[in-house]
Amino acid sequence: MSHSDTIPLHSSSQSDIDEIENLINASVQSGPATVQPARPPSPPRIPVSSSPFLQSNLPPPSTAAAKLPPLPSSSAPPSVLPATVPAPAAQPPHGNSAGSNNYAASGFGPAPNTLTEPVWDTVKRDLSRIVSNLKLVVFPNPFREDPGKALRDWDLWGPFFFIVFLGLVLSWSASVKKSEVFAVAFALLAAGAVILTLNVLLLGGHIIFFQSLSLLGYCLFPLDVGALICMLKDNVILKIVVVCVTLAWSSWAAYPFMSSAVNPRRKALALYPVFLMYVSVGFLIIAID
Amino acid sequence: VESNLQTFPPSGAQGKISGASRPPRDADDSFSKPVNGIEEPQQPGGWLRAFSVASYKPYFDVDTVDVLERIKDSLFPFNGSFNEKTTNNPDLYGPFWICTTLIFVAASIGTFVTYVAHKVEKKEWNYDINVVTWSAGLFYGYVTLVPLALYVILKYFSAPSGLVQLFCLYGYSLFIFIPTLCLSIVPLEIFRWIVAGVAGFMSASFVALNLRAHIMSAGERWFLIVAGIFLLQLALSVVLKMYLFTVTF
Repeated sequence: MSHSDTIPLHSSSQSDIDEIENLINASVQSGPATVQPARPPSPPRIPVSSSPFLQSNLPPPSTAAAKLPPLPSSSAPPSVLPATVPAPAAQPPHGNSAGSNNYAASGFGPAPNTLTEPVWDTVKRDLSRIVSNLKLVVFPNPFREDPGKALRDWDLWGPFFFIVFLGLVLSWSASVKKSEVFAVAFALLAAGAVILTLNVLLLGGHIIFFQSLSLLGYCLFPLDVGALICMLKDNVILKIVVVCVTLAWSSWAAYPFMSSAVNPRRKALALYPVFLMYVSVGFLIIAID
Repeated sequence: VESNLQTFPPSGAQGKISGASRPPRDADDSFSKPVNGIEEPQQPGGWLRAFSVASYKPYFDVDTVDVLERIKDSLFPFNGSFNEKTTNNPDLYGPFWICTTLIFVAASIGTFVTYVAHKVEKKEWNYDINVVTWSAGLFYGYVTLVPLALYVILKYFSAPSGLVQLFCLYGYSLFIFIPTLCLSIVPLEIFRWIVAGVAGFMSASFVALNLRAHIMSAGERWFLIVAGIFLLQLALSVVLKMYLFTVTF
């Protein structure tokens, strides 16, 4: 149909049509129609393997290559991911380091059948993504292979857990007005993340809203640890020391991506509010007894 | 053969399927396209614009040095040059973050002061979470409502001033309370009153002097308005002192 048209198509229409044809062909091969689960929109991603057989951290390319041939013929448990079996066979590996790709959000193949897989697989996949994002954000390693991975694979579960956990720990530590403490902590953190992102956007920075929320949420992890320690051991000097250390760690984790998002002349304007929010959270941790 | 596809007339935004008379465009065309305002993402029109981020961007068009310079100007109220610098480029970054910092500093120092006072008296002390919410209400409310009221009043007296400029002025005028609060840790009551008084005076004169030239054109009532502004700012300073540092058991 695309060849007999006399009306010239927009350049992106042709690729859309190709994409649709690919999906039709691929789904015909895979048998039962797979329902695409709603996924959060994300910038163009290098697909991350989601199969429980592979770790979500980057597998070494050699094992990925070795996995491709056995996968179609392997004795995969029949209840899990039937649609991924033809996917690697149908699509040649697209030059990426992650090896076999079975994420349909990239448009390169049918989705793993996330509606029929066991719940534990879904939970494990999300948990492993949270852990990998956490390692990438909070322990930034200058020598890691793929610096942009945490940005591409952002999710909001991790930040949600950390914010709620911090609110809960503060609430448990408080001796009076526990529910108000939780409310103030949660509101401060959630509204703070949104306001910090808006601040960067208003200063003319380039950042994606949910990606920034995700990263700011992950940077709360050191403060969570600090709050837990302060709850267990109620000594003012210890609290001050612990809070200072974890505060510095959180700020250090948030610094690279916040500062790279704005014009260098406005870097301090973007970083100061981040620092302010973490200091106020730290103060809350010290003050609650 | 006539196509059955619906063709949309080009309406500013380039449609995907434009008229048949157009030759196919290649990728280079997008770079040579004349700038005609399409580079902005789809903006809501009318009153919905108040809810889009892009419509507030012009008020955040400041660099770090600009903000620091404006803060320095607010500390020396008798220079009177703040207004000239900000009339054409008022910013909302300063007011918002100065207020927020002030809330945090007020809450933390108020808490610290009451903590020390209670410990000295060997009394039981518990963190009062409401300090944060009350300070937030006080400062945000002051910086939002007073400029709004002043805007209306000035309009009534036909000496209109831009609303954003007023927000900017009031926001920066609160900066001096930050060092004031830090100094108020000193447990001498008379010292605290002196510090609060001086800060209130400086802040009030900052606001009054910067508005005076503007208000003088409002007629013979200008002195009342300026005096009113001055006293209001002093009152804020007194409220601050009393609310945060009065220790009740």
